[in-house]
Amino acid sequence: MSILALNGLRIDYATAIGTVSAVDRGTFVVPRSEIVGLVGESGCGKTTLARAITGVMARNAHVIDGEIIFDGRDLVAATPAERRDVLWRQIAFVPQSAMNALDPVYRVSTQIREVLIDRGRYRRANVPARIDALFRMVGLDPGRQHDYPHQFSGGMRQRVSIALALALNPKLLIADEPVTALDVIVQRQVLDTLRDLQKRLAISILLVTHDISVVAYVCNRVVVMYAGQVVEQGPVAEVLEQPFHPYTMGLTNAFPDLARARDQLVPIPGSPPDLRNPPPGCRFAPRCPFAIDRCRAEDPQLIDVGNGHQASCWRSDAVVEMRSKAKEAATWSPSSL
Amino acid sequence: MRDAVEPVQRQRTRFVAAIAPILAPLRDPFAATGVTIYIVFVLIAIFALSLVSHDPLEILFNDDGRLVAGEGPSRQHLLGTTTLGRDIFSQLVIGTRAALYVGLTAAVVVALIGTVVGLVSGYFGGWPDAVLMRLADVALGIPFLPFVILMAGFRGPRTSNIILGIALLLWPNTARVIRAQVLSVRERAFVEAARVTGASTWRILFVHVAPNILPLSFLYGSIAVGWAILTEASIAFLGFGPSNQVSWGSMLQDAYASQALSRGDYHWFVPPGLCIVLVVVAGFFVSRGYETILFPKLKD
Amino acid sequence: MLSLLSRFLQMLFVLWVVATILFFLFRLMPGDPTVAYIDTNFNEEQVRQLKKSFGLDQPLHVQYVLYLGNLAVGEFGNSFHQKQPVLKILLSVLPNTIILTLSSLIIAYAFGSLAGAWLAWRRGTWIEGVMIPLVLTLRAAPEFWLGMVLLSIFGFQLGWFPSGGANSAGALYTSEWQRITSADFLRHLVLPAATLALYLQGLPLLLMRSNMLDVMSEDFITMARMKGLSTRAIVLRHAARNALLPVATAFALGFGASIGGNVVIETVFSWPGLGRLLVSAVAASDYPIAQGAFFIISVVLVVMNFVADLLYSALDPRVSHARRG
Repeated sequence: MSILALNGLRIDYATAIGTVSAVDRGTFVVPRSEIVGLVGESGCGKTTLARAITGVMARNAHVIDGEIIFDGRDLVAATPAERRDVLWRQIAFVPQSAMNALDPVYRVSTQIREVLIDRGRYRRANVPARIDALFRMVGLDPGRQHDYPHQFSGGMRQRVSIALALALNPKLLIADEPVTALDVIVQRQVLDTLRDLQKRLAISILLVTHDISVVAYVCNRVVVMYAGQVVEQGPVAEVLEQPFHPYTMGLTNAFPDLARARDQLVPIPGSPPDLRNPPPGCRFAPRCPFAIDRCRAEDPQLIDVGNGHQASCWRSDAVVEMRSKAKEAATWSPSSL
Repeated sequence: MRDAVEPVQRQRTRFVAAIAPILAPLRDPFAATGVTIYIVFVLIAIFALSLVSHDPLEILFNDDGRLVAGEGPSRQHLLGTTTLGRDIFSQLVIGTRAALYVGLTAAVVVALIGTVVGLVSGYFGGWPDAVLMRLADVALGIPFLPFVILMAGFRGPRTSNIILGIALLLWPNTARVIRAQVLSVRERAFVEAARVTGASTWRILFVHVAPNILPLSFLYGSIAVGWAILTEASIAFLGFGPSNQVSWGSMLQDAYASQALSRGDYHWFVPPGLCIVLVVVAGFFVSRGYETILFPKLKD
Repeated sequence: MLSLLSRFLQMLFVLWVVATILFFLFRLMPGDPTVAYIDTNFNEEQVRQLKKSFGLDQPLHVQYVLYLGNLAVGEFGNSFHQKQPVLKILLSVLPNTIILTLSSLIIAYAFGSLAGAWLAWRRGTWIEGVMIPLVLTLRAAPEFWLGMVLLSIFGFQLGWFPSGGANSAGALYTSEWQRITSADFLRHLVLPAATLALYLQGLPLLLMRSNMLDVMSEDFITMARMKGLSTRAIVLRHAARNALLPVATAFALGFGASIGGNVVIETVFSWPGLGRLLVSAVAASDYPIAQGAFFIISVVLVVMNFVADLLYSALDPRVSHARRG
């Protein structure tokens, strides 16, 4: 059984200008002891989805429908007390910007001690040893634990955030764009640490990112989101080498490999739809070079395409042709729309 | 804007563009309330002479020659009379003039000094900046009300001395904020562009930079109105105001000195205080309107 | 450390300029400062003696140097009317002013920051719609008028509190400490302190509210919720602790400003403090007292501005602890 399974999750934002359907088809699994990448453009609902798992959402965000099955329990149906019980002890969060995620007026050691004692029922005597161990685990000098957050560099702060997240041995780590604010070399070091820890501690990680090269670098599985919907998911090698959804094909063109040169990047033309009033049919159809009439009328569902790989596209039959055309830059020129 | 626009029309649109940020905050309900209060008091001040029932300083006698002293509210004397037989309502109406005169004059002077100092300091930097900012430090190190007391007490109990005292000490806050704003505006593209095309320094300063800081000047000006009125009232209450002039502060001093408190003559000392509250709060409300526009994050 | 030193020097500089302004303000006053002091029966020799005793027979620059030297050691001369050293008179009223200011500031800031935090928590409710205009209105009210209204109601009409002064007439105390801890003194303190507190609470309240609103939207508050911390821990330990930084600074600044701003309250309640002393000295042209009182008020203001700076860096580790990379 997987550690986390989302089934048909729907999340709406109530805004002054109408209801925004931020997540419409949140369906994917995170198997135990794997790193799953949740990838998509900014605004596609991936951060909303990740935060919904913790239950800590913006004031105006609401789960309308669906299940979040964590370790056999549905968190959507759970009481606030039950949900809070899971927080940090079993599900911990690594935020995008560790600068703002750490309280500026407390020493880092104080902030780790807070979760150890308040949430982990640690005895005071055991706290210092645990903090030392956590600092070593993420590759930080334990001598720096009494520093304030602003005294660390960006990469070190992100390591502090990871140490804080690991404090209570959670089963699932949700990392929201954990390396986006860092430069490429530091990105790699932090990702290496994350992968290393995942192996040693046998935890599961849901890694939210807009950067498909990060997914290719550390993840076992990938979930691709577009405009609030999961459009494709499966093992990384499977999905990136043999994509079934044209959006995934476009996405792989638009990002450089962490190891490869940044040449020949081809962006997907157009922009995501207005989620207050999403288009009928496939939400990607207006930007899709392969769209047919059916795509604009009917909403495709996620369908198994073999090897634990699912995709939602009416044109799966023509996937070989689409893949070869998707590699040509001309396919994605704005004029072809 | 298209090139074909007539020069006159272009000038008008530029004028509209310049005053738009000054008028925009008035859509805020708080600011609208404040402006309404101001308008009412300005009208009262203008038509004060037709509104009063008596000469505010005239000592009134009955037909039988007795002093009309310490009377409660009646038809003849809406708010009663003072212990010296003066009509309180008429004093209240005339007092509007002194309050608005001091408030608006001091606010204009404070905003003007603050804006010019902030502009010069922020735009030129260097030694003018250093000198002006040290001056600001000094002004902030002088106790405000005691200083105005010294000015009025030793230079003579004249309104001009009160305004001078207020102006000398109240400009630094405005100047500092405007200086910070100028520092950020001068780096923006359109100022850069004007500089490259060879516009003169003063032209850049007053045509390109100044319009962008005008709302800030208004914000601090509207706050200064309240401070100035409160200060004038305090000074008059302490007995350092002009003796021949009726103001809300001098009315309160008169009431205090005439034991109105122990007799519970609320009709005497409550109305002037309420008038001060209304005018000052109007200034706060207007400044809140500017704040919500200038610093949107404060809005919720 | 270096910035601390430069702030300290800046403080001394400001004090020096204030002292200089004071010197010229009093020396260039219309008429001779001794005019008020001189009895019409004095003969020319007596006037000359008198001027000599004030150092007024010296050239201006010599007077200036003497004046600065005297200020530095707290020598403000003798009162024209009370014929006592100014310093002694100042020191005798200083405790009254400090107690009045501190007690009202503490009440105002304790209440204001709690109410501000609470209002931030209840933002968008009708409570906010009523409270904000109410607080703004209280801030707009002249403090002496608030005092007059409270004095009339609670002092004269209800008779709950004495109508003025700091101690009942005729009361004798063996020490200053015994005086200021006596029930009589505290009963006299209630109304002026309550008036001041009522007037002062607006600033910490509005400041705390807007800080709390800012802080509550910070990422670290979201993270605290994700950690499953209790609401109490989130609001008090994280939100309030951060939001209090500027409020603490405002407290120090408020103390400096109130010492001088109390002038009117002390007058309304006949509170024998520094402000009332200044007012009566100016009214009676007792220059040495006016000068001394003004200078002491300035010193407190400038020193508290400096303390506010220190406090800010002491409370905010982002200022006090250097980045280490």
